[in-house]
Amino acid sequence: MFRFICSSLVILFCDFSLAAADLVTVPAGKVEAIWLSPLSQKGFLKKNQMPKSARWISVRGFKVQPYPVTQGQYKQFLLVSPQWGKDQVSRLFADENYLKNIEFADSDQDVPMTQISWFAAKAYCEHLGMRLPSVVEWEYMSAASEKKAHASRDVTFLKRILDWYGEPQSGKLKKVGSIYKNYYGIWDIHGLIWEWVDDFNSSFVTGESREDGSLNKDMFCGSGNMSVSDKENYAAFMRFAFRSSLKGSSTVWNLGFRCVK
Amino acid sequence: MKIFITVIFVLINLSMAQAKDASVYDLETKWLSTENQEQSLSFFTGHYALISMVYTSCPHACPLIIQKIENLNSELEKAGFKDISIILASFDSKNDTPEKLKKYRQAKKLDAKKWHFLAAKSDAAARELSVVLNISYKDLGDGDFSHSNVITLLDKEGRILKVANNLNFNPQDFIQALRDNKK
Repeated sequence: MFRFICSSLVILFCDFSLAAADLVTVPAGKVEAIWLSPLSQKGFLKKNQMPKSARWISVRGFKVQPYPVTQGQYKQFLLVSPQWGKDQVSRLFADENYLKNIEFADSDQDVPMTQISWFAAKAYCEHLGMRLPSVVEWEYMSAASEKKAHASRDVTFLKRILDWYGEPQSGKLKKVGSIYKNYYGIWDIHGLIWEWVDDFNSSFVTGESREDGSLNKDMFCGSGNMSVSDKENYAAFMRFAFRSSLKGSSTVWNLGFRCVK
Repeated sequence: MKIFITVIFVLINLSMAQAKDASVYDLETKWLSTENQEQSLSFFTGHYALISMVYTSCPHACPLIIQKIENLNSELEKAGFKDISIILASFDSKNDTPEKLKKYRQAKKLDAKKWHFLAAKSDAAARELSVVLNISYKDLGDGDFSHSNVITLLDKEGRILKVANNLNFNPQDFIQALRDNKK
């Protein structure tokens, strides 16, 4: 009985504090699919065969957490979701490095939550009545610089992202809210961590098999055929390569997430 | 009494310390059978199973993957493994209704006792299973999907025994995996 009351209190407390941060509204719009190798039913089209309009993908409006989910928030989630504990989780849902070196120290409570799998991130968001963003939603909201909604061709902005990707990684993450706030009011979407997306396993596919070498060539290794714009958005290619290297159970020290609805 | 309590504690600690073995049947998501019954994957507990994902308006690779699974199944039957369920879950939550999947199975003359087509109740259900099975897919719109062809053999508890990551696999590898598992 006591346990019941206790856990009910924890649920009330947690739900309140997890949902407390205001969500940011991202209005409907279009994102230039600069990262996308064009697909047709027959396979891949050459870039110049693709109608220009097909590169712009419509995105519905959504709401998003302004900061990546933090260690402090995830710790509260674990209190009410024991099945996601380090020693309780099924290997189907998280690999053996899940929560490795995450000590949930008070001093780390504003550090982004990482070392969590796609399943764990998804469960966290669902617990809040939210979900993970899709690839398109993520690329859309992350295409904004501080001043502009569409900065995916802004050379300075792109260079800064690439510089972040190229920085030596120390293994120690900065707190959320320490990098930059973009046009929509979203913090640290580049420069702090990589982030999970719902359909991370949707790139690099053909009708045949993910092991189809020609596909990877078309999608990624065709640098000889790359246009200037592709080179400009090499950062997006890096994200797609990274995502395609993941499994749903993968956990990485600098891979976190945020939720949308 | 004291020893008894200690033993209990040790047992609890052991079970706490061991993260659970991965079973595809840990997924609790409900699908719809061709008879419009809700089914989670744990329904298939107790039998070996071949599992993959398809969509029935697929003009190219899907008939091929079904043909490949049919061939594989007959090889497995020849080797004495007759009691294998075949689970085909659909990517296409909009178009592949239970009725449509049933018609598809009938048109292909596939035995309803063995071939289980599952309709996704949401895109999220299909995405989740694709992630578990390491199948990449993308909804191209207009009812068309691009996807990788992965066929997975599960043991009686839903643990992965063998995976074919393309359609050029050797049925002998599956037979060997089943024999090793039976030992």
